[in-house]
Amino acid sequence: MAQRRMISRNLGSSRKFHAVNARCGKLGDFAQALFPLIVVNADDFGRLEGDAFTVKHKVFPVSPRTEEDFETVLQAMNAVGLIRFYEVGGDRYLEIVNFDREQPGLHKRTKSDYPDPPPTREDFGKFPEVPGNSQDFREIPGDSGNPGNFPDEPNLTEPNRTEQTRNGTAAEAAPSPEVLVEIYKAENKKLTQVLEFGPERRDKCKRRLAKDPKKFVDQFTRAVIKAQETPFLCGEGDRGWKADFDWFIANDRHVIRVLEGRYDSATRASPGGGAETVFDKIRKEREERNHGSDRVA
Amino acid sequence: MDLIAWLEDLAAAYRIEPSEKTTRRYLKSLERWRLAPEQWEQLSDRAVLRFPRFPCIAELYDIAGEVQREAEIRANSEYLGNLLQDWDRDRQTRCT
Repeated sequence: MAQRRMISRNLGSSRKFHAVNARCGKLGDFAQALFPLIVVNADDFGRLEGDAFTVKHKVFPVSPRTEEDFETVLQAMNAVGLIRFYEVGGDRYLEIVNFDREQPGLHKRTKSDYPDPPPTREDFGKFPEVPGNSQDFREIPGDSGNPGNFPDEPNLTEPNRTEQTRNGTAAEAAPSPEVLVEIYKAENKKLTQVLEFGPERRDKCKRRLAKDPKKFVDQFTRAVIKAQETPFLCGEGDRGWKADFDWFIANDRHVIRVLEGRYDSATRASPGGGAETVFDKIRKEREERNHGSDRVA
Repeated sequence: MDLIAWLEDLAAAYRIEPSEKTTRRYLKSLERWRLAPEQWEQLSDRAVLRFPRFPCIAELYDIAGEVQREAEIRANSEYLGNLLQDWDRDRQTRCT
């Protein structure tokens, strides 16, 4: 578990953070002081024991507040969507909402210290059989009424809705990172195959989908199709370099460059861009220098 | 660590293409830093999260220091944890 965590400067102006203060009345300030401590003490998946006793003694043992106060405050956090409670085997756990979005370096995490939350109805949408299908699957026709177990609020408490946009509005249908690999597998006939989807790739996909997921998914799909019609990207260039999944998700630029047709000429020697960039130039210089020193040696 | 690729990725995250002079200046500084591959990754992640514009070398240096300190603390904690475990084990064996 990390010794330190990132707290966004936007926390002070967050609606939920304000709502928890309003909801707790006299305990409002305490609630706002407790939340960052919960973030700091959560594991790499943003999870922690959810009972007031453990939270008090693990997170804030020097607090003079009673266990009841802790319980009130935790319930308020759950209600406004800062955290989400879930139960496994009769024990209550909590999960911080949007934890993944705010914390860097999580792609190296492996296993949570706490059990996974049980899947909710919305989770079914995260396993699209057809690429990009997850958005349509969430809405069940004629099931718009609240059956009781699912909150009426538009899933702000849902932990997996981490791909919310920065302006605070919920991204109603943010696709999961797996969508990109599914698209790639479905469309790819000529390029390098993808066999595994590990945490590193997952993290990169998340980053690509963070800004405008719909737009990126669309551009990505078109780029994969177009890349297969581009000889250079299919390994027919001088060096036999081939575009692969990692290259597509490495940054936002590659996909756009494919669509712009900057790799259309088969005579290109490096995948850097249409014109030689500064980086290519420096790279070349160094390669030449290294070869020169080899010869001298 | 391929620092040219690293810097290229960082610049791409900000959608800029730095001038040749700037690129060379950055590379000259970056090459002196001794960071592990995962620390370079943390450095770019944090820089992108923290700065809305392309960070200057001093800002990157601050984050690099922070990342290194965290790694040291982590290593020290692990070391102390191991010592504590050994000590506990010794005590138990002596008691039995």
